[in-house]
Amino acid sequence: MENTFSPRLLPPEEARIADGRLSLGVRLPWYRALPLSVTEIASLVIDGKQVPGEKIHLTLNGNRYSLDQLPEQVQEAWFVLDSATLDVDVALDATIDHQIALVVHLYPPYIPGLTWVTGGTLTLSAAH
Amino acid sequence: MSTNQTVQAGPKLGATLFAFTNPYHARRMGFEDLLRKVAELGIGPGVEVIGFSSIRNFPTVTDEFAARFKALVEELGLQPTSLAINADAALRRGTRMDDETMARYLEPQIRAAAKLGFPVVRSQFGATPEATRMLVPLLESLNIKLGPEVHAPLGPSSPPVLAYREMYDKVNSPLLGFIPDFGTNARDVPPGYVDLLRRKAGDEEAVQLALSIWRGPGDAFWKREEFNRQAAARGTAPGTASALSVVFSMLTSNAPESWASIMSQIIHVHGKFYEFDASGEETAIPCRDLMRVFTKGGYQGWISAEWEGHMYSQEDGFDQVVQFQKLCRKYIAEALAE
Repeated sequence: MENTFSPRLLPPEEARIADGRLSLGVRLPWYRALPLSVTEIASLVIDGKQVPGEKIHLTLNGNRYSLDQLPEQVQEAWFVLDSATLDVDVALDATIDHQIALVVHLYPPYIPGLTWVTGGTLTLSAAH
Repeated sequence: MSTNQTVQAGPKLGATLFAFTNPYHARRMGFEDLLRKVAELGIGPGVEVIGFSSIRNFPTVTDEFAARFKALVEELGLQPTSLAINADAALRRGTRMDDETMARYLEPQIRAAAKLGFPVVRSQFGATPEATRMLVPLLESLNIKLGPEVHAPLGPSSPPVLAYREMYDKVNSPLLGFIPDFGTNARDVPPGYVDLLRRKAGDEEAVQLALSIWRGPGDAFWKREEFNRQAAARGTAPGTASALSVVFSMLTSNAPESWASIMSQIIHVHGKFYEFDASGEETAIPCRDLMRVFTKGGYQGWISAEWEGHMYSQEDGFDQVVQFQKLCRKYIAEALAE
């Protein structure tokens, strides 16, 4: 799961808790832009607990999607320098640290059969 | 070329910005910064660009972007060599574009190359020979050459390449060719990549099994199957086997001489490489043999230095490209002097 993009998957400066809800910036773990249709948020674990997919929404280029809508987004390009935002509908206490682990699967559309698995972790420090 | 003709010039050297994926992806250097760095280090003048990597909204290229790019390469003394385009056959997971859809998908990418002043587009085998044949009138109208990249696990005699060669024989267009990648000619797996496999697998016996099969006889597809068979027999975890079997697709050990069969159709080259030993030689890519084959074969086009060590290293790639080109220059000169 760890690859060359893992250290950059979850930029610390793009993670925050606002109104008790977590918002995470996520980088595309690949060297070129890909359509959103070939990306998959495979797993999000917060403090050891798996977050159900229906609690997560992804926003890219100003458009917000549920995870089950992603395979249809052939026209939505995720540029390689941009972050998508994951909004997580789980109550979190901003006054304590949280451990976050994300796994993203990519299916590069020109490499038949490849599933590119990238895991990244982040410690979200308690707000001061 | 007749046998008594002296080879006067060898391949020309450049770089692909793919080599600098780390500083670009880390947002430390933008597209323009990379071009300036290539010029500053003298690792052009040839410069290859991946459309979907360097250009936002690609294949749309605005007039402003095109004008800025052309002014910049002129200012920096660089020369656009190849625009890497992508045959994204499976835009929808589990499906595959038909030939007409693929031709329509590639057309704006080829037009983008023309607009930016690239004479060549690097295509991929995700486009069938028929999809590519449909593009010939467009290539002719723009005077752009197109070639799919022959990347491991494929080699010059693999079935998809043979199918293209058959189509090329019928169409007989000077605008159609091939783009070899040196990863097909590895003599071993680079040490840094072996370390990565070790970390991923956490199973030294499985790593040694993969390496022994990789180093043995047989083609890449057979080797991958054989590894999976033996790994399953010894009870290797499926995830571990899967992580290790990637090595059979990334690198193959075709002889450098194998390119001779398509040398006259080679329109650009990806000089894939990884790392150097203490004496400055590439650890896996037989640079000397390859420069000899291409120089003696009369190839006078571009070789883009393509450092792929970023697969396991966080370095920027600039020092590596400088060193690789130094080796290439030495061995091209040696071949020319023979």
